[in-house]
Amino acid sequence: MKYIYILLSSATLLVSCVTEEKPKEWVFQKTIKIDGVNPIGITNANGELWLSDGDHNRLVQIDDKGKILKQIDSLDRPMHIDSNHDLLYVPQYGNDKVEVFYPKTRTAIVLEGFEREEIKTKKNDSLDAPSSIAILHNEIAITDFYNNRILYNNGKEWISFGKEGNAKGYFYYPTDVQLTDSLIWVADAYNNRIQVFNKKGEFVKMMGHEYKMNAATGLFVAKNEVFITDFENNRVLVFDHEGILKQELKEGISKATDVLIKDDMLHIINYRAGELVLYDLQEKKE
Amino acid sequence: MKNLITIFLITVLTAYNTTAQKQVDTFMIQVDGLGCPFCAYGLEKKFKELKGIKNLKIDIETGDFSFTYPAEKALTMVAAAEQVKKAGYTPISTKIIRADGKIESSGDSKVYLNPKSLIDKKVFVAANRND
Repeated sequence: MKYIYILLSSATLLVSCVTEEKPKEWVFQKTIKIDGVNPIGITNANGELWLSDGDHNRLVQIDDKGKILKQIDSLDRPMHIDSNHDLLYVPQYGNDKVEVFYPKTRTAIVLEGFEREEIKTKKNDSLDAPSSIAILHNEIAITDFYNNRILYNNGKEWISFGKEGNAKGYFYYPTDVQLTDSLIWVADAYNNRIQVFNKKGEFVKMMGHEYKMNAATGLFVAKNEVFITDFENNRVLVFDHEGILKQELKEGISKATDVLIKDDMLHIINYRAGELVLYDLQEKKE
Repeated sequence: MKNLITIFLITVLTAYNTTAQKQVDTFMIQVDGLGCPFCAYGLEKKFKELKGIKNLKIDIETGDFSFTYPAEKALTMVAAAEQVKKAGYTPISTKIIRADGKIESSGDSKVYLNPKSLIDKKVFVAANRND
């Protein structure tokens, strides 16, 4: 009987050793030049990679070699975009409009109900430089850059929260936002941090503030990780959801403005150089 | 005679139009903290609120930006600085070349770029047309 226990224990230990997942890290793969584009935002719309090209007032769809396949032009400083299926959601910094585009038809409509709802709830209120939008099912969040606040719609009504400052729940020029099932994640760019709120707009936590970022401009929240572009320091910081720093990415990164995971590859865009930088996840070397 | 009058009128109108076009003040401002496109577009946005502004160019590397503004509106140095602050930035220095050739300056004695040379796409944010 004793031997059976020993045998079972040994087998269990062996199985656990075999199935134990080795730690992984993001590793630089390549840089793709995107000629004539100064990308600010990036989104994956039904497998299509779309970029906002703020300097040239357009959105472009590119292939895996950086070649432009489609474009939507005549915009006014499109910033951090998002998508839902084949719909493209585009905040425009220059004219304070948020629009939805159907890329196949290029038909633009003003975001249904947004202006009407906003005017109803807050008299004489309006956006001043919307810098990003996030969509999750029927929920919408928008960063209102110059008003230092977040607008959030749960599918029924709008709330807004935040004002200028550096205390918890305050912003100093928010530039990106993402929605997860229960939280709203904000790149609080010039407070150099990420702030996280519940869907009532109540502060939950912050992260990144101790890492001396200089303009935390672009955010991406994955299942287990949070990515933030540190624009002036030419790096992307990778945290877990509790704000523990996992990795600092620097190779190939220069004035990055946004980041995204598509097809298990990390896509980082370099604004000034007009580049797409790819990283993939590999087992950590000893 | 009719032709002579027509030619005379066209000449006078052309001369008047040319003179009118020249009646702009040129502003060259250096701004602190202008590092990213959010900053550059923000500055552009706040200055586009000034009706009549043209030729707006922004260099996010150096923080230099320039524009022309109708001389008749007599935009002051203080008002220009206030607009920079409204955009969230701090003006370091300002130079104004008035339409009549007079020069006003404030802040650091920085050597300014010739605004006519500020056309390098690699350096400048391509400013939206505002005319």
